[in-house]
Amino acid sequence: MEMLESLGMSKDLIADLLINIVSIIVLYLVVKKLAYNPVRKFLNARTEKVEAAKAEAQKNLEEATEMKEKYDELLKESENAKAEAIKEGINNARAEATEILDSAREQAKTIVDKANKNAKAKEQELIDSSRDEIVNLAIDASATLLKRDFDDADNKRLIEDFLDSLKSNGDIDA
Amino acid sequence: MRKSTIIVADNITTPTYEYLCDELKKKLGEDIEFEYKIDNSIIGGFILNLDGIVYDNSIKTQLDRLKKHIKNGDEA
Amino acid sequence: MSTAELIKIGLSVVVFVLCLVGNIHFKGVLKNFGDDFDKKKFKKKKRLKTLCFSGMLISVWFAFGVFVTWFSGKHSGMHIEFSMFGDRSSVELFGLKLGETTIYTMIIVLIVLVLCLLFRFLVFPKFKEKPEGFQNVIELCVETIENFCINATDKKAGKSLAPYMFSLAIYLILSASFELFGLRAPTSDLVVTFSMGLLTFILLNYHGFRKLGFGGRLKAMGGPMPAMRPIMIPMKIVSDIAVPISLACRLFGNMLGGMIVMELLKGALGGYAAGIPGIAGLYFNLFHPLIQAYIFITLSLTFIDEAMESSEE
Repeated sequence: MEMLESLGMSKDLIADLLINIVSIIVLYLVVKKLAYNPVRKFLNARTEKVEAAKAEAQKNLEEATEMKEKYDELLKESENAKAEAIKEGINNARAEATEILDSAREQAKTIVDKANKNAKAKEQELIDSSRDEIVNLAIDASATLLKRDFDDADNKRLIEDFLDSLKSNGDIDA
Repeated sequence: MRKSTIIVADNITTPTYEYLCDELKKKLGEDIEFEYKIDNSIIGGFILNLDGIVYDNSIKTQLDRLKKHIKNGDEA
Repeated sequence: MSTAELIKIGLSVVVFVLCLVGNIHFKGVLKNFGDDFDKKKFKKKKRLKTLCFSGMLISVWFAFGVFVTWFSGKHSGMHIEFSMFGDRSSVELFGLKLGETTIYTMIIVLIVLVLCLLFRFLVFPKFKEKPEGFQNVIELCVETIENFCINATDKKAGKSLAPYMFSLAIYLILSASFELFGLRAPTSDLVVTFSMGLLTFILLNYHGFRKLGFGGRLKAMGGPMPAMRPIMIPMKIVSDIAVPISLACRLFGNMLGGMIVMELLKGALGGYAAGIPGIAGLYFNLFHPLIQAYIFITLSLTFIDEAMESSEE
């Protein structure tokens, strides 16, 4: 005590010192419990929330990217299928068209053949009828000639021939 | 009496006609009565009609037959 | 009033009127400048206008000072008295008289207690996800102090030290504001600053021993060469003891010095001390203590960090 007093300190000052220390400690506790800790906790919670939100956003992004890729694939496949279907459709149409064309061609050929046949037949008819006409003309011409030329002697000859035919058969041969 | 008609052209003479009748009578019987008709379209020869049977020896017919023959011959 | 004073007042009135006229005149001139801007001329006219305005203010102050001096009879060159410690107050505890600065400290604690209670139960529940205004400020303070502490020391110690430094900062700022009201700031009392220094000393030892262990701390204090240890360790202990003393004296000296300057100024101006001490107070009673607070906290952290250093780093 005396040593301290010789330094110029008194008991009052020591008491002051201790009380001050206690006051500051009390101040510290008050601030920490009532102001600092709640704010700290609040900030931590918010940081966590932000992190969680970020993580979830990341997850969603990944999911979305995955899904997008899947859809892209599906889309590509469907487009391929579409292209295939279109190709097939075109091929089918082409085949049908060919078929139709072929049958049409056949039909046309048939018609043409028929027409040809008809034409040929008509030609033949014409030829035949012309020939007949010619024959008729020829024979008629012959008949006209004969008419002038035929005389009684020819008649007699015919009669003799007829009578001979009667003779040989014993009957009449016409 | 059997009746018979003979169709002739007018280039036949009567003797020839009578010759025909007489010969026919000789061959086919006496009881035929012949009658003639003139038809110049037969050109020559005769068509005999007797007992319902027709004996056609006309030129015309022969020409026709020729026609037919020629025509048919092409077809064959 | 004596003739001298009347003359002084009359002079100031004249100056005031002149400056008022000039101020109005130049204000009009500046307004009529319009589009044809001659920058140099404009600046010159503006300067003249400012000059007239200042003349107005000075004359008013002067007249007021004369009046106050006459009225209260205060003259410059007052006798001022200081003591190293705060005055003894009339409060008694266990038969010991407490110093007024201790009372002030307790008052500060009370004020802070009330404010924190208000904060905790009125403001804090209203905290929103997206900070606005006051909430922003509080969050900024907390985060800044925490980052500061962590940067100065390490993560673990920094986190636990941050609230203490925060409360120290509040204490120092509030005690500086006491000076604005003419009361003696607690921090200008050696007892108070020494208590703060002691606390820092306790803290640094605590952290040092916690991190390095008892032997490790001694080793760190000893230095790289084992042979030197017997010499180094006592030296280190002495320098460690010097830490709280230096902190306390530094803060005390600065605060006391500021207070002395302010008192001198007030005394010197006597009756004319209208407004000027306020302006000077802006620096001595606000800015200066803030700097000192910053230095105190930084040094405390540095010493704590130094105590936590091991010799391998």
